[in-house]
Amino acid sequence: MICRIIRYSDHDAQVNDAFEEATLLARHEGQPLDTVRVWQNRRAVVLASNADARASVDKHACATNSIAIVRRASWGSTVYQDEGTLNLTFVMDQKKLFPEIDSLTEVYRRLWQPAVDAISKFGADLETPYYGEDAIVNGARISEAWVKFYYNLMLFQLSVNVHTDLGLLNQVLKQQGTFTTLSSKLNRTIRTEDIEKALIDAIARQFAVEFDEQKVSPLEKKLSDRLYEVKYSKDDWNFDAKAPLSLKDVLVEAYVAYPPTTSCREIIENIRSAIRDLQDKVELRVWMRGKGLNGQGPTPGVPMSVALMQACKGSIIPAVIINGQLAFSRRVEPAEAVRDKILQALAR
Amino acid sequence: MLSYGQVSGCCFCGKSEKADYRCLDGHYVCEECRLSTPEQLVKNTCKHTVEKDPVKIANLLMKHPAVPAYGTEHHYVASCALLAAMRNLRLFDIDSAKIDKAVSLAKMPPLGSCALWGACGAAIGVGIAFSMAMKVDIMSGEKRGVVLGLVSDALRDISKLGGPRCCKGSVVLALETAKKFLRERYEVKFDDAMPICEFRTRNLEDCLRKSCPLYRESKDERVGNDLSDHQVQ
Repeated sequence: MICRIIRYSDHDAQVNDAFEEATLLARHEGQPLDTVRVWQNRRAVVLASNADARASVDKHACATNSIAIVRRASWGSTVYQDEGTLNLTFVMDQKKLFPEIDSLTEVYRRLWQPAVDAISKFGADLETPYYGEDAIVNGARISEAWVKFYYNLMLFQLSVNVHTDLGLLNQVLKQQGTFTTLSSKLNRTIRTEDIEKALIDAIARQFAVEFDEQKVSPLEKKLSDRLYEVKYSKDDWNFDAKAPLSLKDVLVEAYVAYPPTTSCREIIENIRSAIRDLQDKVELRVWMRGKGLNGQGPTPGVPMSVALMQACKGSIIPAVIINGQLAFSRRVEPAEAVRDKILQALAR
Repeated sequence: MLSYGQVSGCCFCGKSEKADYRCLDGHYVCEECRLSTPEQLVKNTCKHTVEKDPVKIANLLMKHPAVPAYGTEHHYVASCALLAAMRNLRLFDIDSAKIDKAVSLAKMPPLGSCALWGACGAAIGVGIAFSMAMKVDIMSGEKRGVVLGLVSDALRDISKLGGPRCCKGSVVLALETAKKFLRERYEVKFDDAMPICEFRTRNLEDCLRKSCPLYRESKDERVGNDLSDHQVQ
Protein backbone atom coordinates (compact mmCIF):
# COMPACT_ATOMS: atom_id res chain seq x y z
CA MET A 1 0.00 0.00 0.00
CA ILE A 2 1.26 3.46 -0.90
CA CYS A 3 1.05 6.08 1.82
CA ARG A 4 1.81 9.73 1.35
CA ILE A 5 4.31 11.41 3.65
CA ILE A 6 4.60 15.16 4.02
CA ARG A 7 7.03 17.11 6.14
CA TYR A 8 5.44 20.43 6.85
CA SER A 9 5.84 22.67 9.88
CA ASP A 10 4.98 26.34 10.18
CA HIS A 11 6.53 28.71 12.69
CA ASP A 12 2.97 29.47 13.93
CA ALA A 13 1.46 26.70 16.07
CA GLN A 14 -2.05 27.84 15.10
CA VAL A 15 -1.22 27.31 11.43
CA ASN A 16 0.18 23.88 12.29
CA ASP A 17 -3.01 22.80 13.97
CA ALA A 18 -5.15 24.30 11.21
CA PHE A 19 -3.15 22.22 8.77
CA GLU A 20 -3.69 19.18 10.96
CA GLU A 21 -7.45 19.39 10.53
CA ALA A 22 -7.07 20.35 6.88
CA THR A 23 -5.26 17.07 6.18
CA LEU A 24 -8.23 15.18 7.55
CA LEU A 25 -10.81 17.24 5.64
CA ALA A 26 -8.79 17.00 2.42
CA ARG A 27 -8.63 13.21 2.70
CA HIS A 28 -12.43 13.24 2.87
CA GLU A 29 -12.78 15.71 0.00
CA GLY A 30 -10.72 13.78 -2.50
CA GLN A 31 -7.09 13.42 -1.39
CA PRO A 32 -6.76 9.76 -2.41
CA LEU A 33 -4.00 8.46 -0.16
CA ASP A 34 -3.63 7.99 3.57
CA THR A 35 -1.17 10.58 4.82
CA VAL A 36 1.58 10.68 7.40
CA ARG A 37 2.72 14.15 8.37
CA VAL A 38 5.84 14.78 10.40
CA TRP A 39 6.05 18.16 12.04
CA GLN A 40 7.16 20.26 14.98
CA ASN A 41 5.84 23.26 16.82
CA ARG A 42 7.87 26.12 18.15
CA ARG A 43 7.09 26.86 21.79
CA ALA A 44 3.38 26.20 22.25
CA VAL A 45 0.85 24.94 24.72
CA VAL A 46 -1.47 22.64 22.80
CA LEU A 47 -4.88 22.30 24.42
CA ALA A 48 -7.19 19.39 23.81
CA SER A 49 -10.44 20.25 22.03
CA ASN A 50 -12.36 19.76 25.29
CA ALA A 51 -9.82 21.34 27.68
CA ASP A 52 -10.61 24.27 29.98
CA ALA A 53 -8.00 26.82 28.87
CA ARG A 54 -8.17 28.90 32.04
CA ALA A 55 -7.70 25.91 34.29
CA SER A 56 -4.96 24.33 32.19
CA VAL A 57 -2.62 27.14 31.14
CA ASP A 58 -0.82 30.00 32.83
CA LYS A 59 -1.48 32.67 30.22
CA HIS A 60 0.87 35.15 31.84
CA ALA A 61 3.77 32.69 31.85
CA CYS A 62 3.04 31.91 28.20
CA ALA A 63 3.16 35.61 27.27
CA THR A 64 6.38 36.16 29.24
CA ASN A 65 8.09 33.27 27.52
CA SER A 66 6.62 33.90 24.03
CA ILE A 67 4.72 30.65 24.09
CA ALA A 68 1.74 30.32 21.76
CA ILE A 69 -1.53 28.84 22.95
CA VAL A 70 -3.47 26.75 20.49
CA ARG A 71 -6.32 24.31 20.71
CA ARG A 72 -6.16 21.23 18.52
CA ALA A 73 -9.12 19.36 17.03
CA SER A 74 -8.72 16.15 19.03
CA TRP A 75 -9.58 15.24 22.61
CA GLY A 76 -6.98 14.12 25.13
CA SER A 77 -4.35 15.77 27.26
CA THR A 78 -3.03 19.32 27.21
CA VAL A 79 0.71 19.46 26.55
CA TYR A 80 3.63 21.80 26.07
CA GLN A 81 5.62 21.38 22.87
CA ASP A 82 8.70 22.92 21.35
CA GLU A 83 11.25 21.98 18.73
CA GLY A 84 12.36 19.13 20.96
CA THR A 85 8.93 17.54 20.53
CA LEU A 86 8.25 15.44 17.47
CA ASN A 87 4.72 15.20 16.11
CA LEU A 88 3.59 12.54 13.72
CA THR A 89 0.08 12.56 12.34
CA PHE A 90 -1.45 9.63 10.54
CA VAL A 91 -4.68 10.32 8.61
CA MET A 92 -6.19 7.13 7.36
CA ASP A 93 -9.30 5.33 6.27
CA GLN A 94 -9.45 3.17 9.36
CA LYS A 95 -11.70 0.49 7.85
CA LYS A 96 -9.35 0.03 4.90
CA LEU A 97 -6.19 -0.05 6.99
CA PHE A 98 -7.70 -2.43 9.54
CA PRO A 99 -10.48 -4.21 7.64
CA GLU A 100 -10.56 -7.15 10.03
CA ILE A 101 -10.67 -5.20 13.31
CA ASP A 102 -13.95 -4.09 14.93
CA SER A 103 -12.49 -3.01 18.24
CA LEU A 104 -11.34 0.57 18.56
CA THR A 105 -9.14 -0.47 21.46
CA GLU A 106 -7.28 -2.85 19.20
CA VAL A 107 -6.96 -0.23 16.42
CA TYR A 108 -5.49 2.16 18.97
CA ARG A 109 -3.05 -0.46 20.20
CA ARG A 110 -1.86 -1.19 16.68
CA LEU A 111 -1.41 2.50 15.90
CA TRP A 112 0.68 2.92 19.03
CA GLN A 113 2.89 -0.06 18.27
CA PRO A 114 5.33 1.70 15.86
CA ALA A 115 5.97 4.38 18.48
CA VAL A 116 6.50 1.77 21.18
CA ASP A 117 8.92 -0.08 18.91
CA ALA A 118 10.74 3.09 17.86
CA ILE A 119 11.15 4.48 21.38
CA SER A 120 12.08 1.10 22.82
CA LYS A 121 14.75 0.76 20.16
CA PHE A 122 16.59 3.66 21.77
CA GLY A 123 16.59 1.88 25.12
CA ALA A 124 13.54 3.28 26.94
CA ASP A 125 11.37 0.42 28.11
CA LEU A 126 7.81 1.20 27.10
CA GLU A 127 4.50 -0.63 27.47
CA THR A 128 1.86 -0.27 24.75
CA PRO A 129 -0.72 2.14 26.16
CA TYR A 130 -4.38 1.19 26.43
CA TYR A 131 -7.03 3.19 24.59
CA GLY A 132 -6.94 6.84 25.66
CA GLU A 133 -3.75 6.49 27.68
CA ASP A 134 -0.34 8.07 27.19
CA ALA A 135 2.99 6.28 27.02
CA ILE A 136 4.62 6.22 30.40
CA VAL A 137 8.19 5.43 31.43
CA ASN A 138 8.70 5.00 35.18
CA GLY A 139 5.54 6.94 35.93
CA ALA A 140 6.35 9.90 33.63
CA ARG A 141 4.74 10.69 30.29
CA ILE A 142 7.15 10.48 27.40
CA SER A 143 4.69 10.32 24.51
CA GLU A 144 1.03 11.09 23.94
CA ALA A 145 -1.45 10.22 21.24
CA TRP A 146 -4.80 11.71 20.31
CA VAL A 147 -7.55 10.66 17.99
CA LYS A 148 -10.15 12.47 15.92
CA PHE A 149 -12.76 10.87 13.70
CA TYR A 150 -14.30 12.41 10.61
CA TYR A 151 -16.77 10.37 8.61
CA ASN A 152 -14.95 7.08 7.97
CA LEU A 153 -11.54 8.63 8.59
CA MET A 154 -9.32 8.67 11.63
CA LEU A 155 -6.60 11.12 12.59
CA PHE A 156 -4.07 9.64 14.97
CA GLN A 157 -1.61 12.20 16.27
CA LEU A 158 1.45 11.07 18.12
CA SER A 159 3.69 13.40 20.05
CA VAL A 160 7.08 12.32 21.41
CA ASN A 161 9.04 14.34 23.97
CA VAL A 162 12.50 13.87 22.51
CA HIS A 163 14.27 16.75 24.23
CA THR A 164 11.36 19.06 25.12
CA ASP A 165 12.18 21.85 27.59
CA LEU A 166 10.60 20.46 30.77
CA GLY A 167 11.47 23.60 32.73
CA LEU A 168 9.19 25.71 30.54
CA LEU A 169 6.57 23.00 30.58
CA ASN A 170 6.42 23.16 34.36
CA GLN A 171 5.98 26.93 34.24
CA VAL A 172 3.10 27.08 31.78
CA LEU A 173 0.93 24.04 32.49
CA LYS A 174 -1.28 24.41 35.54
CA GLN A 175 -2.61 20.86 35.60
CA GLN A 176 0.48 18.93 34.79
CA GLY A 177 1.25 15.32 35.32
CA THR A 178 4.82 14.13 35.43
CA PHE A 179 6.55 14.45 32.09
CA THR A 180 9.89 13.23 30.89
CA THR A 181 11.86 13.24 27.66
CA LEU A 182 13.69 10.52 25.87
CA SER A 183 16.98 12.40 26.19
CA SER A 184 16.66 12.90 29.93
CA LYS A 185 15.51 9.32 30.45
CA LEU A 186 18.46 7.89 28.57
CA ASN A 187 20.85 10.53 29.83
CA ARG A 188 22.13 11.31 26.37
CA THR A 189 21.15 13.58 23.53
CA ILE A 190 18.64 12.09 21.14
CA ARG A 191 17.88 14.00 17.94
CA THR A 192 14.31 14.35 16.69
CA GLU A 193 15.53 13.28 13.25
CA ASP A 194 16.64 9.94 14.68
CA ILE A 195 13.26 9.31 16.29
CA GLU A 196 11.52 10.40 13.12
CA LYS A 197 13.44 7.86 11.06
CA ALA A 198 12.79 5.09 13.57
CA LEU A 199 9.08 5.92 13.63
CA ILE A 200 8.71 6.01 9.85
CA ASP A 201 10.54 2.71 9.52
CA ALA A 202 8.35 1.16 12.19
CA ILE A 203 5.14 2.38 10.51
CA ALA A 204 6.30 1.04 7.15
CA ARG A 205 7.01 -2.34 8.74
CA GLN A 206 3.90 -2.51 10.92
CA PHE A 207 1.38 -1.55 8.23
CA ALA A 208 3.29 -2.78 5.16
CA VAL A 209 3.18 0.65 3.56
CA GLU A 210 5.51 2.27 1.10
CA PHE A 211 5.96 5.99 1.60
CA ASP A 212 5.70 8.50 -1.21
CA GLU A 213 7.08 11.88 -0.16
CA GLN A 214 4.81 14.64 -1.41
CA LYS A 215 4.23 18.33 -0.96
CA VAL A 216 1.22 20.00 0.61
CA SER A 217 -1.62 19.83 -1.92
CA PRO A 218 -3.50 22.94 -3.10
CA LEU A 219 -6.67 21.55 -1.50
CA GLU A 220 -4.91 21.13 1.87
CA LYS A 221 -3.48 24.64 1.60
CA LYS A 222 -6.88 26.13 0.78
CA LEU A 223 -8.59 24.29 3.63
CA SER A 224 -5.79 25.09 6.05
CA ASP A 225 -5.93 28.82 5.22
CA ARG A 226 -9.68 28.85 5.73
CA LEU A 227 -9.47 26.88 8.97
CA TYR A 228 -6.85 29.27 10.25
CA GLU A 229 -8.99 32.26 9.30
CA VAL A 230 -12.28 31.11 10.84
CA LYS A 231 -11.11 28.86 13.68
CA TYR A 232 -7.49 28.44 14.71
CA SER A 233 -6.57 32.14 14.80
CA LYS A 234 -9.60 32.95 16.96
CA ASP A 235 -9.74 33.28 20.73
CA ASP A 236 -13.26 31.85 20.50
CA TRP A 237 -11.69 28.54 19.58
CA ASN A 238 -8.34 28.69 21.36
CA PHE A 239 -9.68 29.90 24.72
CA ASP A 240 -13.39 29.11 24.73
CA ALA A 241 -13.49 25.94 22.59
CA LYS A 242 -16.21 27.45 20.40
CA ALA A 243 -15.77 26.11 16.90
CA PRO A 244 -17.50 27.65 13.90
CA LEU A 245 -20.37 25.50 12.66
CA SER A 246 -19.06 25.56 9.10
CA LEU A 247 -16.08 26.77 7.08
CA LYS A 248 -18.53 28.71 4.93
CA ASP A 249 -20.23 31.94 5.99
CA VAL A 250 -23.67 30.45 6.47
CA LEU A 251 -24.71 26.97 7.50
CA VAL A 252 -28.21 25.78 6.68
CA GLU A 253 -29.24 22.63 8.52
CA ALA A 254 -32.37 20.92 7.30
CA TYR A 255 -33.87 18.34 9.65
CA VAL A 256 -36.20 16.03 7.78
CA ALA A 257 -37.79 12.62 7.98
CA TYR A 258 -36.22 9.44 6.68
CA PRO A 259 -37.20 8.74 3.99
CA PRO A 260 -38.09 12.39 3.35
CA THR A 261 -41.81 13.02 3.03
CA THR A 262 -43.34 15.15 0.28
CA SER A 263 -43.04 18.27 2.44
CA CYS A 264 -39.47 17.39 3.43
CA ARG A 265 -38.48 16.99 -0.22
CA GLU A 266 -40.05 20.34 -1.04
CA ILE A 267 -38.12 22.00 1.77
CA ILE A 268 -34.81 20.55 0.57
CA GLU A 269 -35.57 21.56 -3.00
CA ASN A 270 -36.49 25.10 -1.95
CA ILE A 271 -33.25 25.48 0.00
CA ARG A 272 -31.20 24.16 -2.92
CA SER A 273 -32.95 26.55 -5.24
CA ALA A 274 -32.39 29.46 -2.82
CA ILE A 275 -28.63 28.87 -2.57
CA ARG A 276 -27.90 27.87 -6.16
CA ASP A 277 -25.70 30.94 -6.77
CA LEU A 278 -24.35 31.03 -3.20
CA GLN A 279 -22.50 27.70 -3.10
CA ASP A 280 -19.19 29.30 -2.07
CA LYS A 281 -20.76 31.00 0.90
CA VAL A 282 -23.52 28.70 2.08
CA GLU A 283 -23.26 25.08 3.20
CA LEU A 284 -26.35 22.90 3.32
CA ARG A 285 -26.46 19.85 5.57
CA VAL A 286 -29.51 17.63 5.38
CA TRP A 287 -29.97 15.56 8.54
CA MET A 288 -32.47 12.73 8.38
CA ARG A 289 -34.16 11.61 11.56
CA GLY A 290 -32.51 8.46 12.85
CA LYS A 291 -30.26 8.21 9.80
CA GLY A 292 -27.66 10.94 10.17
CA LEU A 293 -26.29 13.28 7.54
CA ASN A 294 -27.90 12.68 4.13
CA GLY A 295 -29.34 9.43 5.46
CA GLN A 296 -25.86 7.87 5.44
CA GLY A 297 -25.75 6.84 9.10
CA PRO A 298 -23.49 8.19 11.84
CA THR A 299 -21.14 10.93 10.71
CA PRO A 300 -18.45 11.46 13.35
CA GLY A 301 -16.76 14.82 13.34
CA VAL A 302 -19.62 16.76 11.74
CA PRO A 303 -21.04 19.04 14.42
CA MET A 304 -24.73 19.73 14.95
CA SER A 305 -25.93 23.12 16.14
CA VAL A 306 -27.65 23.35 19.51
CA ALA A 307 -30.87 24.34 17.73
CA LEU A 308 -30.67 21.20 15.60
CA MET A 309 -30.17 19.04 18.68
CA GLN A 310 -33.21 20.69 20.26
CA ALA A 311 -35.23 20.01 17.12
CA CYS A 312 -34.18 16.35 17.28
CA LYS A 313 -35.03 16.02 20.94
CA GLY A 314 -38.35 17.86 20.59
CA SER A 315 -39.37 16.12 17.34
CA ILE A 316 -39.58 19.51 15.62
CA ILE A 317 -39.61 18.10 12.14
CA PRO A 318 -39.22 19.24 9.45
CA ALA A 319 -37.05 22.14 10.60
CA VAL A 320 -34.68 24.57 8.92
CA ILE A 321 -31.88 26.05 11.01
CA ILE A 322 -29.77 28.89 9.70
CA ASN A 323 -26.47 29.62 11.46
CA GLY A 324 -27.68 27.88 14.58
CA GLN A 325 -31.07 29.63 14.75
CA LEU A 326 -34.36 27.88 14.09
CA ALA A 327 -35.68 29.66 11.00
CA PHE A 328 -38.68 27.54 9.94
CA SER A 329 -40.41 24.53 11.38
CA ARG A 330 -43.21 22.15 10.43
CA ARG A 331 -44.09 24.04 7.28
CA VAL A 332 -42.84 24.49 3.73
CA GLU A 333 -41.58 27.99 3.03
CA PRO A 334 -41.20 29.20 -0.55
CA ALA A 335 -37.65 29.41 -1.89
CA GLU A 336 -37.80 33.24 -1.83
CA ALA A 337 -38.52 33.30 1.90
CA VAL A 338 -35.68 30.85 2.56
CA ARG A 339 -33.34 32.92 0.42
CA ASP A 340 -34.29 36.11 2.28
CA LYS A 341 -33.38 34.50 5.60
CA ILE A 342 -30.08 33.25 4.20
CA LEU A 343 -29.22 36.65 2.76
CA GLN A 344 -29.98 38.22 6.14
CA ALA A 345 -27.56 35.76 7.76
CA LEU A 346 -24.93 36.52 5.14
CA ALA A 347 -25.29 40.25 5.78
CA ARG A 348 -24.62 39.88 9.51
CA MET B 1 -35.09 1.26 -0.32
CA LEU B 2 -37.02 1.30 -3.59
CA SER B 3 -39.14 4.02 -5.12
CA TYR B 4 -42.68 2.86 -5.33
CA GLY B 5 -46.03 4.08 -6.54
CA GLN B 6 -48.58 1.61 -5.18
CA VAL B 7 -50.99 2.02 -2.29
CA SER B 8 -49.42 0.55 0.86
CA GLY B 9 -50.35 0.21 4.52
CA CYS B 10 -48.24 1.96 7.13
CA CYS B 11 -46.38 -0.47 9.43
CA PHE B 12 -47.17 1.79 12.38
CA CYS B 13 -50.67 3.25 12.11
CA GLY B 14 -51.99 0.97 9.37
CA LYS B 15 -53.17 3.87 7.20
CA SER B 16 -53.18 3.12 3.47
CA GLU B 17 -51.86 5.71 1.08
CA LYS B 18 -49.94 5.92 -2.16
CA ALA B 19 -46.42 5.03 -1.11
CA ASP B 20 -43.43 6.99 -2.35
CA TYR B 21 -40.99 4.22 -1.38
CA ARG B 22 -40.86 0.72 -0.05
CA CYS B 23 -38.07 -0.91 1.91
CA LEU B 24 -36.41 -4.06 0.64
CA ASP B 25 -38.66 -6.15 2.88
CA GLY B 26 -41.78 -4.45 1.57
CA HIS B 27 -42.47 -2.12 4.49
CA TYR B 28 -43.82 1.39 4.30
CA VAL B 29 -44.17 4.17 6.87
CA CYS B 30 -46.78 6.81 6.05
CA GLU B 31 -45.89 10.50 5.80
CA GLU B 32 -47.69 11.34 9.04
CA CYS B 33 -45.86 8.67 11.06
CA ARG B 34 -42.51 9.72 9.58
CA LEU B 35 -43.08 13.20 11.01
CA SER B 36 -44.70 12.13 14.28
CA THR B 37 -43.60 13.02 17.76
CA PRO B 38 -43.02 9.95 19.94
CA GLU B 39 -46.33 10.56 21.69
CA GLN B 40 -48.32 10.83 18.46
CA LEU B 41 -46.59 7.74 17.11
CA VAL B 42 -47.32 5.63 20.18
CA LYS B 43 -50.95 6.73 20.34
CA ASN B 44 -51.63 6.23 16.62
CA THR B 45 -49.91 2.88 16.47
CA CYS B 46 -51.46 1.48 19.63
CA LYS B 47 -54.94 2.62 18.64
CA HIS B 48 -54.70 0.77 15.34
CA THR B 49 -52.49 -2.27 15.76
CA VAL B 50 -54.02 -5.75 15.79
CA GLU B 51 -50.90 -7.36 17.23
CA LYS B 52 -51.46 -9.42 20.37
CA ASP B 53 -47.91 -9.62 21.68
CA PRO B 54 -46.99 -6.45 23.60
CA VAL B 55 -43.26 -7.02 23.12
CA LYS B 56 -43.70 -7.01 19.34
CA ILE B 57 -45.68 -3.77 19.51
CA ALA B 58 -43.07 -2.18 21.79
CA ASN B 59 -40.18 -3.32 19.60
CA LEU B 60 -41.86 -1.84 16.55
CA LEU B 61 -42.38 1.49 18.33
CA MET B 62 -38.83 1.56 19.66
CA LYS B 63 -37.46 1.10 16.14
CA HIS B 64 -38.99 4.38 15.04
CA PRO B 65 -36.37 7.17 15.05
CA ALA B 66 -38.74 9.42 17.03
CA VAL B 67 -38.14 7.16 20.03
CA PRO B 68 -34.62 7.95 21.24
CA ALA B 69 -32.13 5.40 22.55
CA TYR B 70 -33.02 6.33 26.14
CA GLY B 71 -35.75 8.43 27.71
CA THR B 72 -39.16 8.78 29.26
CA GLU B 73 -40.83 7.81 25.98
CA HIS B 74 -40.15 4.20 26.96
CA HIS B 75 -42.44 4.55 29.97
CA TYR B 76 -45.51 5.08 27.80
CA VAL B 77 -44.30 2.67 25.13
CA ALA B 78 -44.59 -0.07 27.77
CA SER B 79 -48.05 0.92 29.03
CA CYS B 80 -49.61 1.58 25.61
CA ALA B 81 -48.13 -1.54 23.96
CA LEU B 82 -49.57 -3.60 26.79
CA LEU B 83 -52.99 -1.93 26.64
CA ALA B 84 -53.15 -2.44 22.87
CA ALA B 85 -52.18 -6.10 23.15
CA MET B 86 -54.74 -6.74 25.93
CA ARG B 87 -57.43 -5.05 23.83
CA ASN B 88 -56.51 -7.21 20.84
CA LEU B 89 -56.59 -10.33 23.05
CA ARG B 90 -60.12 -9.26 24.01
CA LEU B 91 -59.29 -9.54 27.69
CA PHE B 92 -60.46 -6.06 28.65
CA ASP B 93 -62.49 -3.23 27.24
CA ILE B 94 -59.82 -0.74 26.20
CA ASP B 95 -60.75 2.24 24.10
CA SER B 96 -58.67 5.02 22.55
CA ALA B 97 -59.23 7.28 25.53
CA LYS B 98 -57.43 4.77 27.75
CA ILE B 99 -54.40 4.88 25.45
CA ASP B 100 -54.36 8.69 25.72
CA LYS B 101 -54.74 8.53 29.48
CA ALA B 102 -51.97 5.93 29.80
CA VAL B 103 -49.58 8.25 27.96
CA SER B 104 -50.41 11.11 30.34
CA LEU B 105 -49.83 8.93 33.41
CA ALA B 106 -46.72 7.17 32.14
CA LYS B 107 -45.05 10.47 31.32
CA MET B 108 -44.95 11.30 35.02
CA PRO B 109 -41.91 9.30 36.15
CA PRO B 110 -38.95 11.53 35.30
CA LEU B 111 -35.97 10.71 33.14
CA GLY B 112 -33.74 8.45 35.21
CA SER B 113 -36.47 7.43 37.65
CA CYS B 114 -34.81 3.99 37.71
CA ALA B 115 -31.84 5.51 39.51
CA LEU B 116 -33.56 8.49 41.19
CA TRP B 117 -36.57 6.64 42.57
CA GLY B 118 -35.48 3.04 42.36
CA ALA B 119 -38.51 2.49 40.12
CA CYS B 120 -38.12 2.11 36.37
CA GLY B 121 -40.80 3.90 34.34
CA ALA B 122 -41.31 0.84 32.14
CA ALA B 123 -42.32 -1.24 35.18
CA ILE B 124 -44.61 1.57 36.32
CA GLY B 125 -45.99 1.61 32.76
CA VAL B 126 -47.01 -2.01 33.15
CA GLY B 127 -48.74 -1.09 36.41
CA ILE B 128 -50.57 1.78 34.69
CA ALA B 129 -51.79 -0.51 31.91
CA PHE B 130 -53.15 -3.17 34.27
CA SER B 131 -54.61 -0.60 36.60
CA MET B 132 -56.54 0.98 33.73
CA ALA B 133 -57.54 -2.35 32.19
CA MET B 134 -58.72 -3.81 35.52
CA LYS B 135 -60.19 -0.50 36.71
CA VAL B 136 -58.17 -0.45 39.91
CA ASP B 137 -58.37 2.39 42.42
CA ILE B 138 -57.03 2.95 45.91
CA MET B 139 -60.08 1.32 47.46
CA SER B 140 -59.84 -1.82 45.32
CA GLY B 141 -59.20 -5.10 47.08
CA GLU B 142 -57.34 -8.00 45.46
CA LYS B 143 -56.85 -6.12 42.15
CA ARG B 144 -54.81 -3.43 43.91
CA GLY B 145 -52.52 -6.16 45.18
CA VAL B 146 -52.29 -7.65 41.69
CA VAL B 147 -51.15 -4.36 40.17
CA LEU B 148 -48.64 -3.70 42.93
CA GLY B 149 -47.34 -7.24 42.60
CA LEU B 150 -46.92 -6.89 38.84
CA VAL B 151 -44.89 -3.70 39.17
CA SER B 152 -42.86 -5.36 41.89
CA ASP B 153 -42.19 -8.42 39.69
CA ALA B 154 -41.25 -6.24 36.72
CA LEU B 155 -38.88 -4.18 38.87
CA ARG B 156 -37.26 -7.33 40.22
CA ASP B 157 -36.63 -8.60 36.68
CA ILE B 158 -35.29 -5.23 35.53
CA SER B 159 -33.13 -4.96 38.64
CA LYS B 160 -31.31 -8.14 37.63
CA LEU B 161 -29.96 -6.25 34.62
CA GLY B 162 -27.89 -4.06 36.90
CA GLY B 163 -26.53 -1.16 34.85
CA PRO B 164 -25.84 1.02 33.05
CA ARG B 165 -29.42 1.65 32.09
CA CYS B 166 -31.00 0.11 29.06
CA CYS B 167 -34.47 1.50 28.38
CA LYS B 168 -35.14 -0.96 25.55
CA GLY B 169 -34.23 -3.96 27.68
CA SER B 170 -36.28 -2.64 30.60
CA VAL B 171 -39.38 -2.27 28.40
CA VAL B 172 -39.03 -5.80 27.07
CA LEU B 173 -38.43 -7.30 30.52
CA ALA B 174 -41.37 -5.39 32.03
CA LEU B 175 -43.63 -6.62 29.25
CA GLU B 176 -42.35 -10.17 29.63
CA THR B 177 -43.46 -9.99 33.26
CA ALA B 178 -46.88 -8.86 32.06
CA LYS B 179 -47.00 -11.70 29.54
CA LYS B 180 -46.20 -14.23 32.26
CA PHE B 181 -49.13 -12.93 34.28
CA LEU B 182 -51.45 -13.08 31.24
CA ARG B 183 -50.38 -16.66 30.56
CA GLU B 184 -51.00 -17.75 34.13
CA ARG B 185 -54.17 -15.82 34.85
CA TYR B 186 -55.89 -15.72 31.45
CA GLU B 187 -54.25 -18.70 29.72
CA VAL B 188 -53.02 -16.55 26.86
CA LYS B 189 -50.72 -18.43 24.48
CA PHE B 190 -47.54 -16.48 23.78
CA ASP B 191 -44.30 -17.76 22.34
CA ASP B 192 -42.47 -19.17 25.37
CA ALA B 193 -38.97 -18.26 24.19
CA MET B 194 -37.28 -15.27 25.77
CA PRO B 195 -37.14 -12.60 23.02
CA ILE B 196 -33.80 -11.63 21.53
CA CYS B 197 -32.90 -7.95 21.78
CA GLU B 198 -33.54 -6.24 18.46
CA PHE B 199 -31.36 -3.25 19.32
CA ARG B 200 -28.07 -4.87 20.23
CA THR B 201 -26.33 -3.61 17.11
CA ARG B 202 -27.42 -0.03 17.78
CA ASN B 203 -26.11 0.51 21.28
CA LEU B 204 -22.61 -0.85 21.30
CA GLU B 205 -21.11 1.38 23.97
CA ASP B 206 -23.60 0.88 26.80
CA CYS B 207 -24.98 -2.52 25.82
CA LEU B 208 -24.80 -4.95 28.71
CA ARG B 209 -24.11 -7.70 26.21
CA LYS B 210 -23.67 -11.11 27.78
CA SER B 211 -24.94 -10.01 31.18
CA CYS B 212 -28.34 -9.23 29.61
CA PRO B 213 -30.78 -12.16 29.21
CA LEU B 214 -31.99 -10.66 25.91
CA TYR B 215 -28.54 -10.55 24.30
CA ARG B 216 -27.36 -12.94 21.60
CA GLU B 217 -24.16 -12.68 19.58
CA SER B 218 -24.90 -11.54 16.05
CA LYS B 219 -23.10 -9.88 13.19
CA ASP B 220 -26.34 -9.25 11.33
CA GLU B 221 -26.42 -5.49 10.79
CA ARG B 222 -30.03 -5.63 9.71
CA VAL B 223 -31.21 -6.73 13.10
CA GLY B 224 -33.46 -4.06 14.50
CA ASN B 225 -34.82 -2.99 11.13
CA ASP B 226 -37.02 -5.96 10.55
CA LEU B 227 -40.64 -4.93 10.77
CA SER B 228 -41.95 -8.13 9.25
CA ASP B 229 -43.45 -9.68 12.38
CA HIS B 230 -45.81 -6.84 13.00
CA GLN B 231 -49.47 -7.00 12.08
CA VAL B 232 -51.52 -3.97 11.18
CA GLN B 233 -55.12 -3.52 10.24
